[in-house]
Order: sequence, then C-alpha cells, then structure tokens
Amino acid sequence: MATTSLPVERETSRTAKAPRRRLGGGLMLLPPLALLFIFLVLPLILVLVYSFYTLNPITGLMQQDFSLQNYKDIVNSSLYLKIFWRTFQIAIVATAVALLLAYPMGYAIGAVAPPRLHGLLLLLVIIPFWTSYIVRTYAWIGILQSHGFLDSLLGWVPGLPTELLYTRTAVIIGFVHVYLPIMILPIFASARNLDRRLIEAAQDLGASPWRTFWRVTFPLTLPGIVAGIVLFFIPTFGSFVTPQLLGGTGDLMVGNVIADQFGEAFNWPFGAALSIVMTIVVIIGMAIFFKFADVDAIYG
Amino acid sequence: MSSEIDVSIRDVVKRFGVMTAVDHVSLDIHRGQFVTLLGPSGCGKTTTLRMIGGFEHPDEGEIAIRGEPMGNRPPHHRDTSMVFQNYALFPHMSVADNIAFGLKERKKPKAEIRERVQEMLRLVELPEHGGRRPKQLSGGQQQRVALARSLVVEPTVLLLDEPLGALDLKLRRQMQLELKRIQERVGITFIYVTHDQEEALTMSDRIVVMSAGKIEQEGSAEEIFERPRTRFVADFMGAQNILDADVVDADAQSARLRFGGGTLAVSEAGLLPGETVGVMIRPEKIQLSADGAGVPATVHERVYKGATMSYQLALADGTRLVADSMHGDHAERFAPGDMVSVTMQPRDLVVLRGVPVQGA
Amino acid sequence: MASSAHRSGLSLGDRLLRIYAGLVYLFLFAPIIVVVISSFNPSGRWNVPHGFTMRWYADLMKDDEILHALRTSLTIAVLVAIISSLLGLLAAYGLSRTRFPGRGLVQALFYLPMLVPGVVCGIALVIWFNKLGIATGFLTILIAHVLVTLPFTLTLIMTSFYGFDRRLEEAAHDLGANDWNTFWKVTFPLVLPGVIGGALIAFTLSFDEFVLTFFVAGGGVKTLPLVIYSRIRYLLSPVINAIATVVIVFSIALLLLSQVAQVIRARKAEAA
Repeated sequence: MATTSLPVERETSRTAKAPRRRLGGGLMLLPPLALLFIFLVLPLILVLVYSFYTLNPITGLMQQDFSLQNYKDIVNSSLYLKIFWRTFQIAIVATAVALLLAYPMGYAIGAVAPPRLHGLLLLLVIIPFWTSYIVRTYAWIGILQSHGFLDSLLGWVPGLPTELLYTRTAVIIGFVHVYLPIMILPIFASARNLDRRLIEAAQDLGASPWRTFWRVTFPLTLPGIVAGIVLFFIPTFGSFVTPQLLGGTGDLMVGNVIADQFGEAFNWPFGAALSIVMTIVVIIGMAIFFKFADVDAIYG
Repeated sequence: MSSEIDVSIRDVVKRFGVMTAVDHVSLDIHRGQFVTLLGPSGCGKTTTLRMIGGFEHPDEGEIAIRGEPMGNRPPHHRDTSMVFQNYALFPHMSVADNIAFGLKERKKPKAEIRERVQEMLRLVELPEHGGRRPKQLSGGQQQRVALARSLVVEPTVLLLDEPLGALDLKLRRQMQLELKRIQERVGITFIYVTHDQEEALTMSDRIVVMSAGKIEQEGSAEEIFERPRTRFVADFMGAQNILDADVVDADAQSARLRFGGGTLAVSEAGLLPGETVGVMIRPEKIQLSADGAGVPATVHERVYKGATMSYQLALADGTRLVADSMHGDHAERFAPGDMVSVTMQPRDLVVLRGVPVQGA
Repeated sequence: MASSAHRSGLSLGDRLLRIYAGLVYLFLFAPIIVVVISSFNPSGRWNVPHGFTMRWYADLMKDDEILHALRTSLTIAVLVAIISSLLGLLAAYGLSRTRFPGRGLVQALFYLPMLVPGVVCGIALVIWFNKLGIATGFLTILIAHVLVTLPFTLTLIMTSFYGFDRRLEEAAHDLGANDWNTFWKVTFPLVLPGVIGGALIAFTLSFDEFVLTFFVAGGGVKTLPLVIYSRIRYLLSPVINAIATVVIVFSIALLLLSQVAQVIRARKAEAA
C-alpha cells in the first residue's frame, strides 16, 4: 500500500518547495536536534559505557576499565533472572487484560459510534491519560486498600476479596488503568479506517457475524492491535512507580531494581547494565512479537 | 426468457429518519434477466438493491426471493451475492483467497474450492493472477475479481451496485460488454444499479427507472428510450426536445396538441382537453425544408457532427428545438438566420405525463 | 447511502458493546472521581462520604511544603511550555520544509524520548549530568522535562504544518516579503494555534512528570509530584486528596483548553 502511494507524495512535495528555503529549514532543525543529541543520545551511549564498569567492593569507587562482570552477575543470579521473568509475566498479563478492554472500546468508538461523536469519545479516553500518573496511582491505593473505597462500596458482597492493595492484581489494575488510553487510540484508528463494505461483503458471501469478525475485521484491525500492544508493553515493562506503590515485595519489577541502584544500593554501573539488558529484552520481545503478528503479510 | 420470478418486491417502504428512501415500490424480476435499476443519486435504487441483499430491511412491504419471503433475514442467510461499488476486495487476502471466501464459508472440500476458483479466474480472464494481492491489480482487474468472488457461490441473484463507476470510460465500455457476456453464459439473474443511462441501455434486458423513491417506468431498453412515459424519464434518458403542449381536444383514442405555433394529432389515450402535457421528439425525426407546409422556425446555430448536421431552431413562440439531419449529397443545407419549415410525423411524437422537469 | 447500515436500529451486539464501553469509561474515570469525592470527605478516610467538608483544603493552604512544591512545579511548567513549544516549532518547520537523506532517521530521533523507558532515560541523564559536573536541581529538571515533552509539542505543531497551504507563503514572497517577514506575518499566525496547543500539553506533561524528575531532581528542589510521592510513601494524609483534586482539575482544564486551540486551528485551516 505504502509503496504505491509514497512516491507520488514525494514527487509533489519536491516540486512544491522553493530551493532557497532548504537551508533555512535545516538551520531551524539544529537547536532541537542538538538538545536531543546532547541530552539523550550521548547519555544513552554513556549508559552503555558505564555498564562495562564495575564498583570496587572495598572502596565503593567506580573502576573505569572494561569488564563484563555486571552482565555475568545478572545472568548468573537466579534473583535477577527471576525478577526479569516476573517483570515479563506482569507486563504480559497486564497487556492481555488491557487488550480485552481496549479492543471492544476502540472498535466501538471507531466503527460503531457515529463519526461526529469521535472527538468527544476520544477526549473522554484521553482525559484520564493526561491526569497525573502519580495521582491516579495514588487513587488506586485508596480504592483497593482494606477499608478502602471499593470495600465501603461493595464490602457487603460475600466472596469479594477485601484487601487487593499490595497484590499482583493491584499492580495489573494500575498498569491497565495508566496505559489503557494509549492502547485504545491506535485500535480506534484502525477500526475507523475499516471499510464497512468489506464486512458486508463477507456476510454477503455467507460468513456469520462471528466468522466475519475472525476472517475480516480482526485481520484488518491487527495493525492497530499491534501498535497498541507495543505502546502498552514497553512502558509497562520499564515501569517502577506502579509496582512500588501498588505491589507487595513479591511484585517488584526490573525498573525497581534499576531505580534502587541509583538510590539505596548506589551501584551505577550495575544499574546501567540492568538498563541495557532490559532494553535488549524489550527489543527482542518486540521483534518476536512482530514476527508472530506478521503485520506486513496482511498488507504485503 | 423464463417467466419464473426470482425476486418479488411488494409495496416496499424504507425510511431513514425523516427521509423516505424507497416509497411503496413493487417490482417483479424474472429469472435469467439482466435488470437495471436506473436513476439519479438519492432515487432509492441502491437502497432497493441493499434490501434485496439483506443489508437493509424494509419498514413496510415484503421482499421474496424464489417465492420465499425474506423478512429480516441477514445477508449470510440469503442466496444473493453483491458486487460492491469500489469492489470491497479483502486487502489482506490473495485474489484466489478472495474468490474462495464464500466457498470456505460453505465448507466445500479443498480440492473442489481450488478447482472452482481456477475455473472462475478463467471465466473472468485472469487465470494467472490468483496469487496476487488485490492492490496489485488494475481497477478493471479488481472489478473482475469482485465479480468472480460473487459468482463462485452460485447465487440465485447477483446484485451489482454501480460496479463500473470507478473505471475510466473506455474500460467501462469494454467491461459492459464483458458483464453482458458473462451474464449470458452463467444465465443467472443480474440486478444492476447505475445512474448512467448509456450503461443501462447497453446491457439491460429490462430497465427500471426510479426517481424520489418511486418507480417512474419499467420496460425494455427500447421502450424506455423510444417511448418514455414521463418527463423525468425522457429527460433522464437524454431527450433533447421536450416541449410543452396544450391538449386542444381529445377523444378515447387520440388527441390534438398545440405547441410551438402549430397543432398535431397524436394517437394517445386518456388526455383531457385543456390539459398541459409534455411532448418529446427525437432530433433525427424532425424534417426540415425550405418551403414546406410545416411549422415555421428560425435557424439559430448549425453544428457539424460528422454523420449528421445538427440545427438549433427557434419556433415562432420562442420554443427551442434541436433537429439532426443527414447531410448527404441531396440534403438541403441551412445557415443561421434562415427561415425553415419544420414537419413531424404524429407517430414520432411521444406524449409525456408528469410535472415539468426543472431546467428542461 | 452505504453508511446508513448502522443507523437502522441497534443490534444486540451493538447494545452490548455500548454497555461494555460505558463500563470501561467508568473504570477510566473511577480513580479521578474517587479522589475528588474523598477530598470533601469529613472522615478523611477512603469510604463513601457522609457529609461534606472543606477542611482538607484549609489544611492544604497551611501546608508550606506542598505550596512551595506547587510554585516550583508551576515555574518549571511555564518555562518548559515556552522552551518546548519553541523547539517544537523549529523542529516542525524544519521537518516539514526540508528533504534530505536520513530525514526519516531524524524524525525518528525526535520520537525517541517517547520510546525509551522512563527509568532508562532517567538514569542516563543522572549519569550524564554527573559526568559533565552539572549539579542536579532546577536546571536538570528543566532539561529533562523539555526532552520528554518535545515529541508531543512537535506532533501537535506538525499537524498545523500539514494542513498548511504552502501557496500562502509563496504569495507573500511574490508580493515582496523576505523569508523572515513571510515567517512572522504568514506562517506563524497560521500555525499559532498548534503552537499554543503544544505549549499547553507541554505544561500539563511537565506539571505531572514524575519518573525523570525522580532521578534528576537531586535533593534540593522538590516538584509537586515528588512531594505527593513521598507523602504517599511516608506520610499519608487527607491533604493529599485535596492537592490531588487541584492537580486533576488543573490538568483537565488545560487539556480542554488545548482542545479549544485545536478546534480554532481546524477552523483557521478551513478558512485558509
């Protein structure tokens, strides 16, 4: 699809621009690019460099010679592997739960609701997202704690757990709430672009609504689903505030361990190495996911 | 031509909010015919087609297919198949998978599906294109795939919703003939929706002209073109000469009409003296002579059209008229400003009912 | 006519979908509603309130730590809004007006702050500032906030440039205006709503930013989210509900304001 439409677009924009403004536009890019380069690219490179340093166990000073010790420590320690595995599990479960909520939501707004309501319905999705992360997480403490809001509202229902705070469930709820909006948006976009006639064509050719969903609607909205999953999974995997505030000691994630290296443990090289491993794990995870989801094959 | 009825529409009404899209329409469509619903946009033709397909449900009335009332039965439980405007091919499937879609839903064996898909690809003359994606095909090719996808499930009735609208003129002409060829080969009923009268004339066994949710006229292509019954139909079929005429006197079989400064007798029943009607005459049926006994007229403009010469005339009362004459060696030629005499044969006059069309 | 299919009565599926969507909205808004309700709850506890009080707001007015943090956050947010929208404007102008090899890469670079996990970004900055010998504090917070808000301001301002009729600039040139005058008299007024929208979003994001601030704040400067975080962990009190409500109302008001700016932009684009 893109391969047929892009060259045309490029052609027109090439003819439309005045050659003398090329330099001016380039100059304008310099300040923001310099900022990004100095305060993001270089620092990230420095993280990589630091990850090969070590801390002298006696003096507590950093030794600036190349060593793979930090990485060895991570791989050889069952504790860190366990934490990575736990992080992975929590992120996967949260992503799955979020998808169950986000898909019908994005579909309902994009493909069922009349277009004139799109702006309003999306605004209602975005408002919670723009509201302070800390405040929202704090609110869940109040809702989920024993004798909390949920308790006072539904405490009379037998069989409901009274204490959800500091459990894995609370962490999942927190993640789903915090990042659900950014999963809904791409799903909405793909559902809105769905050609209704394709659904009608499928039904016309004998497919029941259920079969139509699996053979037409789902594959055509898959790009939105994939984008939503990526946008949800990455920040969830790297989070440390939510498990810190809502989880118990058994729910700490990689982000917490990294944060600790810069606070309590004060081992920057090890924290840097953990960050690098986390980034690599996320990249590999996403690569596997993309291969599995095979979005290109849909529009190939 | 079989007299069995494939689709029977009885007094169907469909409203969208305050607008009535289809207003008490009744229509029988016979087996094996190529029937065209023709009319301007918003006339209710597409809604009618979508109701036959089950995409919309009538608010009143009943649609039956092969004698079986459809009620609110959804599309996937109907033996109809639709070729959509802009084709609606599944972009995530190959051409072959698109065509196989309906067969898979009907749980046909794999070998049979493969064979039938290949057979269809041959029918629409795309035998080598099964493995491609719809987006890799030209508009005309996509059109054929859409046709194959609908035909392969062997529907009772094939519904076509302006399927050629996105093609350029040359390709459209070519596809019109091909559609007709395929329809004659498979022998099933085609119901075709278009706003292009030429397309309708080229392909249809029967044409149903619709306007404002109602059927204006139903008949063979020739009947619709030669003998439109209303001003709307005449105008929509591209009639150039529609004149206002007063009925001077009338009896059971015939009437005398006055228009443009002359009177003519026509054999038309049911006219009332004093009534104003429309009169249509085709430009090529008008004879011009320098000194005839007909109605006098002035030549305004002369346009050379190859095989014919077209004259813009003004009658004594200002009525405009277009006359085409063959300009062989013997034909007289006139120049702008010339006074001529216009004669018409009563049998060439078509009396039109209904209110004058705006701008006609 | 084709789009009218879903107007003809609601199917059972659509009805269920509506109920489901309503429940998801309830889930999304529940924490916000609960905090606001609790801020007026006389019991000071997390339960369905019996009564109404402004006591926690009165307490808030006496809480110097929070008020001071609020001032700090507002100052930083204003500066971030100005710097980030200005840089976003430069970047959007540059990206929409130039074609050069590797342009896609540069554009991707602008979105990098959004993709790198906050923790990684945070420690990278801490290490970097330490290396450069820049003391953590007000300035480092400012830099971090500009960094995380830039992708958002850029995106918003870019949409203004995409809906822009380039012929207007050409007309200005044609009438004798130089590049500088063309920019300020034609280009800037037309993209201004996008810039304002970007500034408002940057303000909100900066005002709420926690993760990066947590790393780069150092000991001395405390923004409001930092204070709220430490109160949650060590000194839970109903005053937090009051300040949280203030933050919520403030954020929503700013978001709505930026939406208004968007609508104005769309109107202008239509008129142009």
